[in-house]
Amino acid sequence: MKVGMISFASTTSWEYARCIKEIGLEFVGLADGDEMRGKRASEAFAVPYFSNKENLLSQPIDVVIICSETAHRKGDVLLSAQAEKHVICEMPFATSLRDTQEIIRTCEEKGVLLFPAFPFRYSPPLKRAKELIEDGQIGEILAMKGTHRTKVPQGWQTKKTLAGGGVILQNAVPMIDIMRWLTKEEVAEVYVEIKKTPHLNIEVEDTAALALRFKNGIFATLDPSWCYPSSFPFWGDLSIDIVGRDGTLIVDAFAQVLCHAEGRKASYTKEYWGSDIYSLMLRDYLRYIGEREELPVSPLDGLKALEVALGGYQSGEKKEPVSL
Amino acid sequence: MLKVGIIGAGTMGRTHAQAWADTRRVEIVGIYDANPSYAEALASHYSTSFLDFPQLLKKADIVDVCTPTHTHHHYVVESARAGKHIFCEKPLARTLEQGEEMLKEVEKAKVKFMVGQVLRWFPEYRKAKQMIEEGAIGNPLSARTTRGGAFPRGIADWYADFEKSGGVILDLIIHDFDFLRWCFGEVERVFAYSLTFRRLEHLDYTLVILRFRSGVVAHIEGIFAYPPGSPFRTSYEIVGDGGMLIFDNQSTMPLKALTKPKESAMGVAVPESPLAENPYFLEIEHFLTCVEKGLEPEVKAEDGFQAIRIALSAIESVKLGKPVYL
Repeated sequence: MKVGMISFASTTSWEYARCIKEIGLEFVGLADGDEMRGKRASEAFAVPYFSNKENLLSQPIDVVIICSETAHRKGDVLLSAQAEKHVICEMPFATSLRDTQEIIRTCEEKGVLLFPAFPFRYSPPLKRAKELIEDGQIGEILAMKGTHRTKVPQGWQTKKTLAGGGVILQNAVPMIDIMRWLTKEEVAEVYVEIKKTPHLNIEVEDTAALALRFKNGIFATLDPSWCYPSSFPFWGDLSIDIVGRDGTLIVDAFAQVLCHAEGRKASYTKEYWGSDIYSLMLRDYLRYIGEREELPVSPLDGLKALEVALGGYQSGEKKEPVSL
Repeated sequence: MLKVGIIGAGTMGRTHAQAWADTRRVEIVGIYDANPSYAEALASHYSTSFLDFPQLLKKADIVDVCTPTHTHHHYVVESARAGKHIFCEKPLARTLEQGEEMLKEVEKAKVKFMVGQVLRWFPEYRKAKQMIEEGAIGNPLSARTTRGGAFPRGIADWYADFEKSGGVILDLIIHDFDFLRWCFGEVERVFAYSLTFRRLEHLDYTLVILRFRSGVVAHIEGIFAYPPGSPFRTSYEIVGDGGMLIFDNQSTMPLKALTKPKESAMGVAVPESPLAENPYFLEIEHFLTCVEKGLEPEVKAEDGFQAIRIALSAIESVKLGKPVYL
């Protein structure tokens, strides 16, 4: 399998590049509009840098991993689809439903597979929770409480024009997907409290509390805030409590850590030793490209999660629940 | 496709059978157990059959010894003499003399041999070893480890027979001995207290202090003492002149399932730490790769031997009330 990458804007791009190497796939090259960023990655992974995306896409590549700024993803996916490459794209695909629909339609027309990058679905604790739910261990799901909080990012992720939004687009979207994936239910209503903390001097929201009601009555909240201080010992968290009629599952998906107190830097960090979700996701997606079986994830999952997030912004403005 | 024969159809035999099956690169040609009904039950699950030991030796390329500790010697020596590659569950042997003879026979037969020091494939331990090597704690100074829970109940209660199992020191904290030696090198002396010789019913507990040649001091707690159904605890704290690593499995369980079994009025809380690949699969897969490609396994025969040497020295120290030099 021959792989190319477009852009190293998102931090997970480094994870995917590492996985391409570790899995032993052929890493044909990478393109990045930001030459310094692209060349740094090109050196780090010893792969050719293409200053021009079209040149990269003219190479014999099977699949392109797109990790550009949210606002650039549409252009990058369309370009890749035109070149008839399969696409794995960071989430969300775009900042609007219309753009997302265009992306999905174009990929369909060109006959290329489009994978939303939802690596959390490959977390063994979350997979196990899904297994227990489907096995009936907690009965009918009634309510959920989720968190996916991180530190305040720097750079494009805080810029309105490039990111489209803050924590709701960036942190809530993958968590909404996990809730849809676990329950196999659609969100009917969303209510959101949004906040942009002035002294952070960023253009997008850094704090939010989402309340979701699903079509079958399940209610849930989710906290996607950039609330952890830079000194926090880990990058963030991903937790979900699932309350069922016959039991409850309490998941802290990144609890598998050891603590490292370092003397000279006087730092205290947590080091993750659980399974590599990026590698598991990539291997699974590529297997489907090779075997053409039923897809593990649909581009519509990306669309649905975005729809809920965008409803959230409306709710934040109106200060009222928004029906979807 | 290489052919694997499994000896012993208890807990470890079951775990290993699944691991071999998961490799999808071997055929399980048969399972032997002193109690044929156990072997047959397990064999049917993997569409194979009960074989007596001589038959199994005829058919298999690889023999996996998962029997109680005191019988490892017999099966390993016979398998080596038959020219088979051998995977042997930890601990290597019940006595040093047995262990020495096993190593000699394995070497003479020029077969691949590995002892299942599986902790080396537990990511929380592997990561610590890797971080120590990368200088995360500077020069190692000391370590504390904890391992255990309730007293294990094996077939015919063999763990309770010290002559067969060697108690908590040989059976359980052999894991920590191997891990610490992997990190810090050879042990110089050992001092230990233990309940082992109090002969309490289904109760064993030990505290062991190791002094490594490098100067590192390690404290190891081994627990077969908690009430039945208690959680299995593992933890470590590893101290160096530049930092410290801390791990406790009880505070790092990513999944807790609170459920109510059908026949019970009370709910149960089951913590889990799921991984994409379990450590038993990884160690078996590693050994298989070594057999296929003629490589040297990560756990050398000597490592298995040195681990029981530390454990048996600790038992000796308990008896003597004095430090024992290795």
